[in-house]
Amino acid sequence: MSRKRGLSRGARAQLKAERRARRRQAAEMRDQAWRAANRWPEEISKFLIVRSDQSATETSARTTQLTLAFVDEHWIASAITPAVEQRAGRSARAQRRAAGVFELLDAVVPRRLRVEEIGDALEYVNAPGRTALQIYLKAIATTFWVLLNAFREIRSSVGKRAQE
Amino acid sequence: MELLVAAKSALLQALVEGPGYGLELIDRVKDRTSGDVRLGQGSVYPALRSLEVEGLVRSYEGPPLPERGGRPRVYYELTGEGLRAAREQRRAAAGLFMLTPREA
Repeated sequence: MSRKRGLSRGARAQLKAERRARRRQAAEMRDQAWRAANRWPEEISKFLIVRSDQSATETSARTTQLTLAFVDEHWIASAITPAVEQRAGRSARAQRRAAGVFELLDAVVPRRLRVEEIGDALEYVNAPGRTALQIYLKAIATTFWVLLNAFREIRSSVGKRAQE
Repeated sequence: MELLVAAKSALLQALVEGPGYGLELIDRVKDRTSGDVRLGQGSVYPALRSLEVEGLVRSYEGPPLPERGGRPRVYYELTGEGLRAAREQRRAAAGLFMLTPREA
């Protein structure tokens, strides 16, 4: 049995709250570091904020540390930018494909499902920061549930008519 | 461990806070329970429609949004009857789990 399972519900909630507080604190530290760095525009290109996760043995919780590391600005351009662009490109391609699938679904499902379920799914996939995998999974799940719910709606409306 | 909570009950309680649309309500339930209750896409929409048929919630459309491909959001809000049902449900659940009124 894992250590987490052995904890009471209250203790788990407290652990979660502590973890959230630590994450918030780490985010604030990160923001402060960025704000400080932005005061020296000439130096910003020479520093990279490195984030490392460490385990604190006494709580089994992960803590985040921020370090300012000196890096070559050309290395940043050559190593990080293409990776970020590649990831953004994959997500954009996934978004286009998901939108294409949803367009097809639009043609065969009732308006309510089109507006609500497909609209929510589109909003989800178009939100910033989604990975290509998340987008594809959402598209697959939405296709399955929309078709199933369309079938259910049609069946119930036919049943109602038959009763009348 | 995922908690066993019916989607309709969770949505009724989430709507007590105010109107919301599908995605927002899924997040609201997740946040309120610190991630212990996660509603699936497959259960939320049928549950919302069922609550509407029962007269516990009513729906209305917002303005069309570009991030939704020009589709509007469908918002849900509790009716008077829905609010009563949500309160009764909360009281019943508190009794079931033997909570003091303060904990409920």
